[in-house]
Amino acid sequence: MNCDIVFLLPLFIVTIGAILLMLLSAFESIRLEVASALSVGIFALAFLVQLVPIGLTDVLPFVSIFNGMLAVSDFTRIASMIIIACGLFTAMSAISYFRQNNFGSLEFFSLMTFAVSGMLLLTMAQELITVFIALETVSLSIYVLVGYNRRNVLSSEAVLKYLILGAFAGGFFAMGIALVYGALGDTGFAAIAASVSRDGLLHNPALAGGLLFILFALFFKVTVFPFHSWVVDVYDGAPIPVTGFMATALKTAIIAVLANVLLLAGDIRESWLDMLFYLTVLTLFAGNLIAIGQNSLKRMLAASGIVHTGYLLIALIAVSGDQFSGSVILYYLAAYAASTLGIFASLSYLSGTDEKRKEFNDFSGLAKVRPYSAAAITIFLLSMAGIPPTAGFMGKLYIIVTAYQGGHVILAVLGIVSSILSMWYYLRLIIAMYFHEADDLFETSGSRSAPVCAFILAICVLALSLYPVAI
Amino acid sequence: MDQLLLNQGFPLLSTLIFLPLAGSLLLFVVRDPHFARYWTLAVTSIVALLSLTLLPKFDRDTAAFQFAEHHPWIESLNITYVIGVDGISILLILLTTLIMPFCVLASWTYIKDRVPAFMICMLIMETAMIGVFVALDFVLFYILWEAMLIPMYFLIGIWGGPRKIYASIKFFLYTLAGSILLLVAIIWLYTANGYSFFIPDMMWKDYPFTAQILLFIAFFLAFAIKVPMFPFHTWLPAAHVEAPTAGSVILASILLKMGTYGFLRFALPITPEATTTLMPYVLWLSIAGIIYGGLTALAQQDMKKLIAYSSVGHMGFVTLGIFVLNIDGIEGAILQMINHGITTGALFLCVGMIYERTHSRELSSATGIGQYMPVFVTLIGIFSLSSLAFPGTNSFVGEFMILAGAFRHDVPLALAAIPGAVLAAAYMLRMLQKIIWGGTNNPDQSWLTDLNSREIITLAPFLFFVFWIGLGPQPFLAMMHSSVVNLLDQFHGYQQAITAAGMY
Repeated sequence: MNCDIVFLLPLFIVTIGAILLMLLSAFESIRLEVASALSVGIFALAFLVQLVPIGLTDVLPFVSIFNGMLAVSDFTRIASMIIIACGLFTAMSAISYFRQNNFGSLEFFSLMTFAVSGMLLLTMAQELITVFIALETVSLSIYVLVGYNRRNVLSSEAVLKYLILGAFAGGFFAMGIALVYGALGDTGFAAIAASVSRDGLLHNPALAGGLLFILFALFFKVTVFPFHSWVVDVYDGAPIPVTGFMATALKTAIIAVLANVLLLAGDIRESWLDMLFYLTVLTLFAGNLIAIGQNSLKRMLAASGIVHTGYLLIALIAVSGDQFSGSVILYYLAAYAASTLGIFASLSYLSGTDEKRKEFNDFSGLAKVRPYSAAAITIFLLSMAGIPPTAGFMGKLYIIVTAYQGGHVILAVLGIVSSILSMWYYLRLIIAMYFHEADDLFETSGSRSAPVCAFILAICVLALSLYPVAI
Repeated sequence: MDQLLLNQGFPLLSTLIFLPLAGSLLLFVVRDPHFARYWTLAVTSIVALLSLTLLPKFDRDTAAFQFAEHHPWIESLNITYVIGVDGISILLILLTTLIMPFCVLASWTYIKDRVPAFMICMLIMETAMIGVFVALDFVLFYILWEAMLIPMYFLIGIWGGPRKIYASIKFFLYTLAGSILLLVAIIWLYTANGYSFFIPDMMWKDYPFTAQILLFIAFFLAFAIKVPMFPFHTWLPAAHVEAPTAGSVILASILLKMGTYGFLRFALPITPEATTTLMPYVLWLSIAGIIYGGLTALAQQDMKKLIAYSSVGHMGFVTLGIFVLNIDGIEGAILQMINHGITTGALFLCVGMIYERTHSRELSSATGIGQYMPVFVTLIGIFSLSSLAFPGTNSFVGEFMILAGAFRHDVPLALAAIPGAVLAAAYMLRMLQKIIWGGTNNPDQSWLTDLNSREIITLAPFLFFVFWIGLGPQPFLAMMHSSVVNLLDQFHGYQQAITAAGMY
């Protein structure tokens, strides 16, 4: 029993921390820096605890708690570590951002910590209603975070879009649960898996339909092709730290759920392989095309996030059930999270008051004025583009090798082609930063926390590529 | 693993690879331009001297990979850090390490802006280039192969000429596009070889014929773009013209060799059957490159462009030598790779020296300088003669061996290559004539100063090697002989095995 508590300890720490932070917000005298430091402390503690149970073997030992609704394994443990790290770096870099943008308040950190607690729950959930509750915990916190800058029109537009579409997706999810429950009388993943492996997926139309609804709701959250249209506007409108947080932590959590759902029984994935194949291809290329057309950095990053979802889908399709494939997904997520958070951390201090620098051209000549920042951003961009020797390359290599081994040669080739296409828009910022003259002094607030974040993450990106065994 | 002669004691090759990288770290902290110049010169010189210590210990009588180091790296994918040198790569490594200090010297005053960053790029570049020539694990190779792009991209894009952005992006995308299929091929080979990326294990296997053809096409695209072979050469003139002198020298002397090195290291041993089938097409493409490069060079007004197009022609000779698949051809090709590195590198340095004075690369603005810069025109004259394969200079030996190999293979083919040699004489002499004498209405060049001692020191070693290889090439050929003989033996043995199997 002691072990069970240790396994859930990170979740407890984060949840209690979130409540504490919310209570603290009642005191006006507390400064933002204190709240930030406190949340960083909470995340660091949770991260350290998460490090401990390395004794877990790779054979998915379903240590069931709460009547089988939650399960932990190395997969959930590492996914949780990524999520917690995302929270930590966002909390750190948010301070630099709020120095230049005056709408910060203590609740920001509390809401973010709540979102992280929901995400941790998501990775562990083994039952649909638990997933739903966790998903709503995350979504509600993020709705507020997206609209945090109340005076900004774009931000309000973003939250409205996200709220309406998100509620719609939530409805889909609930509908899916109802259908599955109607078909099986149970909402546990184990029951679904048993039914599918016994009779096949299509034997029971209500079950198939219900799972399809659930998949679509999850696809909405991770911006798979036909459900991607919200992402550019929402990412653009949300405050920079929130965008970075959504792009990384939220994606990690939902991909973990997707992996859990799709890998229940091999047949679930197999039955939808064709659909998943086309969605993947369309996601990759739609994302690339949208990204090529953007002039704003945030919008480009939002669109490139669609492409990265495409890569993760390749991995999900190619997984062969063994632990290696799980680690492929996690490694890619870690590499992607490190580079994306890095770039958003850099933007947190470079974008200036009211995010005045947002276009590619606004960063012209950054390398002359702030060479270290430009070098860090270059590392992040090259990693996202998948150029060696960065973590992003290793992540893509793993995914492509896995796809190849799984017999999905077309996906492997298309994945490589898409990475070439993506060079187009990643290079644009490098060109602007290095090859143009500076007409801006890039004055910043002086808070060192976001630059420190960016520095640590740049090291992470390089270190992850040299020691991929760590994952 | 029996192809490796493991290194005992001091890990020399790893030191060569990582010393420049380690040296670059200091420049991130100390940002004084003067210090950066001296420091980089020191680091590259130490690497050059260290690389010379490979020579006495290098065993000429074996085709195995020497000085090999083997460490596990990413165990889940069976990726290892394994490096080694054989007769094919040792000369290229020495070329790389020896040319780098002179690239630094050539940039001494040419680069005024952001000197530490420039030197960092040069050092990272050196690490990647040495790494490519010694890597024996395909993922390691690919990582270093791609990693070369980034510093080169910055070298062209930041310190380049007026159209630098166009040139750098074209360079980057072209070479990147070439290597994507290489990655697919690597992954195919990985699965076909029991999940191993170890290159020597991939050689001489009886892969199915269709697979070999597809692999060969993947290799060919990646390497032909890098060489560059006609018609994949269009990135080269743009990149050469816009790059700073040191960038042009690295590009011409070392980067282009990676393509031909790739053919020798991968295409021949891994896909021998496809090589035999597709050989005629590659040979005639080489001929096309020789003629096309020569004709285009004849029409250039820009000196750098002229040399760039002449590179297309010279590299055509190299691929011709490789794919005639006999001992003269391949040894000539490897020697010609070295020669081209020396000669063209020196020519780019010469053009850079004019450019530093006149700030123009146009032939018309450098006419008639023979009177005022006698030392300079002597040197550029010798290098031009070397470039057109004048007897007594290095290129003559290489080109002669390649043509001898071509004659042994197929007489019409060899005859078709001959006009290339004549064209080379035509465009080089035309350039020399204009530079030295010009016409009746030369611009006033009397203000030009002749080469200073730094510039002479930069060029002198090139001159030394031009004549050494030209008059006594035997030591160089002896170093590669065992490896080339082994390559050809294996190759012909493979073909015989195929024919024997086909008879049943």
